Amino acid sequence: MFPFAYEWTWYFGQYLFMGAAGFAISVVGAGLTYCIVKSIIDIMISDDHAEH
Amino acid sequence: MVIDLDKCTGCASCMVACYSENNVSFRDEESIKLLSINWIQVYKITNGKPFPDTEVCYLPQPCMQCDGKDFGHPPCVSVCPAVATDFDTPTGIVSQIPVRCFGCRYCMAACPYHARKFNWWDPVWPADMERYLSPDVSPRMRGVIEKCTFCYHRFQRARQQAYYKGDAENIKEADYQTACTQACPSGAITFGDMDNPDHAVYTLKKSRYAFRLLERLGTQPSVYYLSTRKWVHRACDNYLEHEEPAAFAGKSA
Amino acid sequence: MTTSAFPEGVKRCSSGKFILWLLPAFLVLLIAAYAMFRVWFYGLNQTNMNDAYGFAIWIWADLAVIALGGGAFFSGFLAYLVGVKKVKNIINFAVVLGVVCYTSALILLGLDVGQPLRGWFIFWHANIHSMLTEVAFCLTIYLGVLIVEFIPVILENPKIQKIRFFHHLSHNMHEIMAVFAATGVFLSFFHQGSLGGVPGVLYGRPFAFREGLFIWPWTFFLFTWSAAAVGPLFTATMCRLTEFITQKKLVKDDVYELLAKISGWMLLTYIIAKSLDTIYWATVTAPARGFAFMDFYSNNPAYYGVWILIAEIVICGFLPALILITQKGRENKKLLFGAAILAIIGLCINRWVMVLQVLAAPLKPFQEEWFVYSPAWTEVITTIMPIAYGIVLISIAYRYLPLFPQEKELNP
Repeated sequence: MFPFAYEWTWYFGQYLFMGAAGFAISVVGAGLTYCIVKSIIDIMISDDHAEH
Repeated sequence: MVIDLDKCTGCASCMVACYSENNVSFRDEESIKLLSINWIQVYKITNGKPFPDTEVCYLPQPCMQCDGKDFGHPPCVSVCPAVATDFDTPTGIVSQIPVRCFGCRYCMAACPYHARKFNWWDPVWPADMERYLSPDVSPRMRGVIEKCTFCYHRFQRARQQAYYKGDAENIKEADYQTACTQACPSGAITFGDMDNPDHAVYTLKKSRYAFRLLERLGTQPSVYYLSTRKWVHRACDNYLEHEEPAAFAGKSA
Repeated sequence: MTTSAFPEGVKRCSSGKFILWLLPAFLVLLIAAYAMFRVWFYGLNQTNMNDAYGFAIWIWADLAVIALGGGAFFSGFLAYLVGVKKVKNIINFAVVLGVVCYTSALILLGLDVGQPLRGWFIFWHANIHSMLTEVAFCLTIYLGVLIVEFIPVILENPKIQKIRFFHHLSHNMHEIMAVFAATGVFLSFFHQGSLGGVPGVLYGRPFAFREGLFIWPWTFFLFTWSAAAVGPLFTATMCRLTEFITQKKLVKDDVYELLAKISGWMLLTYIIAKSLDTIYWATVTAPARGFAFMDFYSNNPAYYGVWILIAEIVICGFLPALILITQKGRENKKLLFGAAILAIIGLCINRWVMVLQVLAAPLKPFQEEWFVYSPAWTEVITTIMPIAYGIVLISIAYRYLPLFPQEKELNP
């Protein structure tokens, strides 16, 4: 059932397809992560400015 | 498989045998044929001429077990999104895995022969018929596709027996026959290994009068039909007005 | 002073009037929910589909709604990647429309399969050679992208903006929107195309089958192209409809005219390509398989007569394209939206023909009757459901979110 079990054979077409899908998901995920992290940092920076 | 249309009487014993062997389900209400399930269907075709020139032919049609263009790519196999159907290279049989199928019906749209049927309902077996079902073939649930498998369970049984006899590669013609072949009273259906010169189908398929259904689509079916009647050849494929079936090219009817 | 739930500087009607407006849509959704229950509980025998019509009105609705939702990706492409600033005035609306279209498509797909609980097989046991697999992957990921594009719009609501994290988050997401837009364009190109590939690879069905480029039949490119051409027209038409319902000008005319101009040229080039493809198919592909052109058009004029081809290519293809490429055609708003509606109808006809006419046409000479299909009530109400759902979502989004940057300026 798992793609890592012995009966499954990876071949080029699957690398290409899953790679492209994974790439698209990674880009979106990375972008979202960047936004969330930057927003937290922005809050921390504005807190610092408020204190000073 | 080779089916001799000049021998078929239209009795549909092949259909009954198939229903019984493969636990094909049925309902109380079977008048809408497009909702019925059968793995082999007998069609009645005529030459369209009025009496006294009317001729009738009965055509049993199972799954064509197409080799597909570029051998190994039947029209239904490459389109299945979940690998619920696959082409088995050694036997040329197109398998169907009901527990993998999630019922998108793309394969049914792809098949030009309408060989694939969908389970619109769950099977309901009358009385205690469940106790008489064939143990070798699992019944299918609602929402999945099913089709003729050339009685693959019989192939598995024959292969197992050949293995125990110490000769795994050599399955004799008589050891693996489909239910429809065995049921046919007129011997219209012949089944065997088309690449094995010892099997009857090897010679039959080379007959001048052998043809395949909708051959021009490029599906490369494994089921050959035999008929000496030109109108039958014409009825089984599409031709433009000036074209002739290959077996009769340059000859009059 | 309490912050208003409404965007700054715009007027909205009373809650009572708003709820009254939504009531008919909720009624439709309620009946559709019952239809969905019947289909999921009792099975697909609740529809009028059969072994000849394995694909029917739901698949058509999926194809049509995804193509029309293509306005989201193409507007995003124009606004964020090409830098056409005017399009930014309608991009938020396009994204909301995209969310409506793609979520509807996925719901309809969930209804349409025989074993919905096994739907995950398409991801886990993926056959990468199948066009449907490609569609499923790209659709799902693209819906994610659309939601990611929608989130900053939601966060713009004044009450939500008061929360600092959301204030910063919406700002940061806007900054890198081009990245999401680019991913959306990449995914859309493939899934719009693969939806075209679905009929195009069926070499057992000569009406649908097309030669192509490498693994992609010509219908792959034609579908993407038509979605990119007609999607923005659908966005513009729905925007105009929103203006009509709210009795407010929401977007300046030059935005409509720009979208219409781009769509017009895309539509013209598409319909020329489509005509060439049809001619090649009719003169080379089909005859090689023993089919004359008229074999695929029935003698019954009420059912798949040749009129359907003329409607798709001439009346709803060349005609609106020629109107939209002229300035006079675009300046006259009746002509512009008339042409847009014709183009939308043409797209719907194209999707219908490529799915349903394929299945209706007989292939075996001894089975000469055309297969007939008409949808059951369960299918009809669930196909109307996206419209009701769209009304609800767009109404709520319009009421509480600043969808239209030009609204304040146009309604002082």
